[in-house]
Amino acid sequence: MKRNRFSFVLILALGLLTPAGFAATTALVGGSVHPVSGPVIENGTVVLEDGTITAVGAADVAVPAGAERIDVSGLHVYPGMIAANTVLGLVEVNSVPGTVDDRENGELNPNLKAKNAINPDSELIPVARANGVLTVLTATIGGVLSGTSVVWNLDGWTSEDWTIKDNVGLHVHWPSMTTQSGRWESRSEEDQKKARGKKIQSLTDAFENAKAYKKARESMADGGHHHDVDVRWEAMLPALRGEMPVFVHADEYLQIEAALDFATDQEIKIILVGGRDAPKLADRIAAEGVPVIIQDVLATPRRSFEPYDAAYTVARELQAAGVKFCISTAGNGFGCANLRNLPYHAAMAAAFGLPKDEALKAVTLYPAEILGVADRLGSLETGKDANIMVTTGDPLEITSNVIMAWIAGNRIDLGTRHTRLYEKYRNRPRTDGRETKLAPSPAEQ
Amino acid sequence: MKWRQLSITALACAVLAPSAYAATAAGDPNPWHAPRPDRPDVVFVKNATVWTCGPQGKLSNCNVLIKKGKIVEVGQNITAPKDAVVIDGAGKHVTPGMIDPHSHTAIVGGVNEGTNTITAEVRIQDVVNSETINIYRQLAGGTTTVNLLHGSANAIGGQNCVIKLRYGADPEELKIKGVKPGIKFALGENPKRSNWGSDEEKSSHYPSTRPGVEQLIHERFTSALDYMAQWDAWKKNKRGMPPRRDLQLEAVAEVIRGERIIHSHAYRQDEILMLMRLMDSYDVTIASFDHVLEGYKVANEMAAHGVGGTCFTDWWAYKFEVYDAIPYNGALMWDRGVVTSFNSDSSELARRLNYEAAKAVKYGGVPETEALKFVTLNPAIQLQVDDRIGSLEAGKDADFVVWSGSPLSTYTICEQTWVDGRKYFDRKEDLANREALAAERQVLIDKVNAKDKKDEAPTKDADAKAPDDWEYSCRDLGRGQH
Repeated sequence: MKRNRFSFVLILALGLLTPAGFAATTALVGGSVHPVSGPVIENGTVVLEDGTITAVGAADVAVPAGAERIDVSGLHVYPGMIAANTVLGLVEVNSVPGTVDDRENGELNPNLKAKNAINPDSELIPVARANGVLTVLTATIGGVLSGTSVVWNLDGWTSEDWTIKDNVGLHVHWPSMTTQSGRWESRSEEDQKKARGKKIQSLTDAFENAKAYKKARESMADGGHHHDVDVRWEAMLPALRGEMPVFVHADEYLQIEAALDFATDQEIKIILVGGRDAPKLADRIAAEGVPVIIQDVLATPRRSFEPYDAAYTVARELQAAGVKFCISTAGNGFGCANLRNLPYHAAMAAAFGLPKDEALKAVTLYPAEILGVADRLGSLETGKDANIMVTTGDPLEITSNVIMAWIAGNRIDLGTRHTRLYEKYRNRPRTDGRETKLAPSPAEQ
Repeated sequence: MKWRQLSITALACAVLAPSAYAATAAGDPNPWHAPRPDRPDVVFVKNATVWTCGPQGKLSNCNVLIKKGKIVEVGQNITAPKDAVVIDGAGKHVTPGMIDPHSHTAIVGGVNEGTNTITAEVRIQDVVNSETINIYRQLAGGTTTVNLLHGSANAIGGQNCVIKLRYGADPEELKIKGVKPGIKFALGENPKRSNWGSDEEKSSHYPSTRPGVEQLIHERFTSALDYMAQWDAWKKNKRGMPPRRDLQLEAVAEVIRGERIIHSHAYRQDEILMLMRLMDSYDVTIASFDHVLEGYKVANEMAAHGVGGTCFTDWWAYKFEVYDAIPYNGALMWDRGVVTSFNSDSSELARRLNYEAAKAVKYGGVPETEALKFVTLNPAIQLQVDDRIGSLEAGKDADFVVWSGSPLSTYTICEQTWVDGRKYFDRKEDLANREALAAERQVLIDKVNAKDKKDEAPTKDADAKAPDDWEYSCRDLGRGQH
């Protein structure tokens, strides 16, 4: 939804101004503008007005009177990146249980809402956005049916400020379809198979129960018998009605195959998350129109006999087969601490054959499309939200830095726990009588 | 569908890799033991951008002359001898083979001797796994030497082993002969066993505090001094019974005598300072602090002690002692004169140490040629093997990588990896061999399937990893990481 000046004034009046600096109108002039949705514009102009992009074009774009002009010549302007698979905000320090909210006990928790437990002062949030990851999907990950996810901007006072879209998807973690024989698996093969069967049955039962519940409640609405609300099945209704996709987390061939069959049987829309073996089922995935959120490119092959670059080439192979895909990182605490490395997963895919422009789209426009927020995010286009980063070079190169960023039109602070500690200890008195050779952090520049 | 059949026999053909294929095809009686690649008498890298990581710096349009596995000359004005194997370096970058100073990648049967808290006597050299595919994968990312270490469950974990990734060689042939022996120490949450184990284990395990870790190490060093004194006394006149040998104290005594160097896992600044002061009292200089996530807070003191720092670039927040870990750590230590390197502690990360080097440029602005030394020359200095590897200089081993572009660009890939003047990885050959490998695998699958028809259905499911391919990391008593 596009914001207008009236609603923005109203927001101001309500005191809901977000933490970062605010300018009603800003014009970024003179930089290389990378809309992602179209060709690069050299010496381009981008105008941000009331949180929205109001113009993207060449030097002849008119800058509105009173706008703050920021000269970004020699720099690059990109849309913010989007991480489509995280637990950001739910986990602070993974080994300290009091700071961990990503895994509930029990297998069937479709009614858990990630949105309600995001810690706005998590130190992990500024670290992610300092490298241009400005929007993320957060989901709980425990059990088989884990809950519903939220897409949010990494800036705001509360979860109500920053939510782009709630109830984005219902998350299913497909049970492992294979038995393990290593010393880390103490269960017998038979017990493992039983456990798998039980989990799949519980998942199928949950969908059947929810369908029966839906029918009963519809009948009640039509004057039939009373049927009590069940919060778990209630949470699944949008997925059953086809209004909310089911995100199925599955990496392995048999899991993916089972998930595709399940989607057909249950008549639900699914999105695959993980997808390491997806290239081996690419034709079917493409034919069935199932998008894939690739989890981790920087990974070792799953099997010792696979080519050494097996994980690097998943994106290329899916793209070549016409599968809708995007690239994300591991949806766990460790992955979230280093969301800043998202662009380098895309870069490795490009190094191994994914076209460079596709690699960039895989962390901007494509996740926006797959998550259903492309009307607002993912590219620099008039009418979209002003989530923008200014970089010293190609953001997929490690040696480039993000030196300015805006979220919903607000200039954000690029300082983090890490830059604060850096500045503190960079300035510690020296004992060698020399001057520092180090540059200040981008937040200080 | 073929893929399905293939995954059923995943275990049957687990450890095949491209260079192993040539051996099988040639009828080698030990097909898992790939033939050593040829070592041409003369190799000439022509017209490349060469990052020497030595005094010559980075040179464009540069040549490298290699004879019998050693670098003879690096320069712009040398010509290719007749009969040299010439590598056309036009558009390519050449760097020293990368060195991973903290790894658990090629070890059989576990990395922590969990039955005791001080296990200075146990040796990685006895459990080197020469057959893991990780060796090949890391070669394919430009890594040529790794320091294999015990985990960090124990305050003194055991003796290390430095190997070159000569894929296909047996364990003895992997080891670099004559390297100064080392030993792994560990401080902080892991030897405290803070993050795993049952409540009962946690409440009964000593140490469960940092002061306990310090006293354990202190006690062993004082005991080792006593042990050395007993031996010295006996050796004077060799009268009476000699002292009883104690292999654990002998390892500690070697440290005290400067014959064995310490690589200590450490996170927080207090424990880094503690170990330096404790070792100062025994007149021992620590070789490296590993991970050393708060090294940046005590970089002055580290430089004064003379210890190197080898860190993860950007891992943080996975436990409390890494909440102050920052990606600027490497740059800050380097800036104050600490010999600084980056390590992997991970069979995944070890395949792209060049990405990590680029992070020293990103976080702090370390010059590119210095940043590359974080994964080449500097780890060689820390392991005290810089007289042989770590830079492209006359007299050093011909361990080098041919890259498609700048090693600090994320779009660059490793095209060739050479060790001792032998080409152990070639991307073109790897790609070309894939079809042949697939065909061979299919033969094996067909055999298994034919057998299955006669016998019962296979009992093993598809996807199990071979037990030896378990990814070890520091605190690996059971599972877990770092």
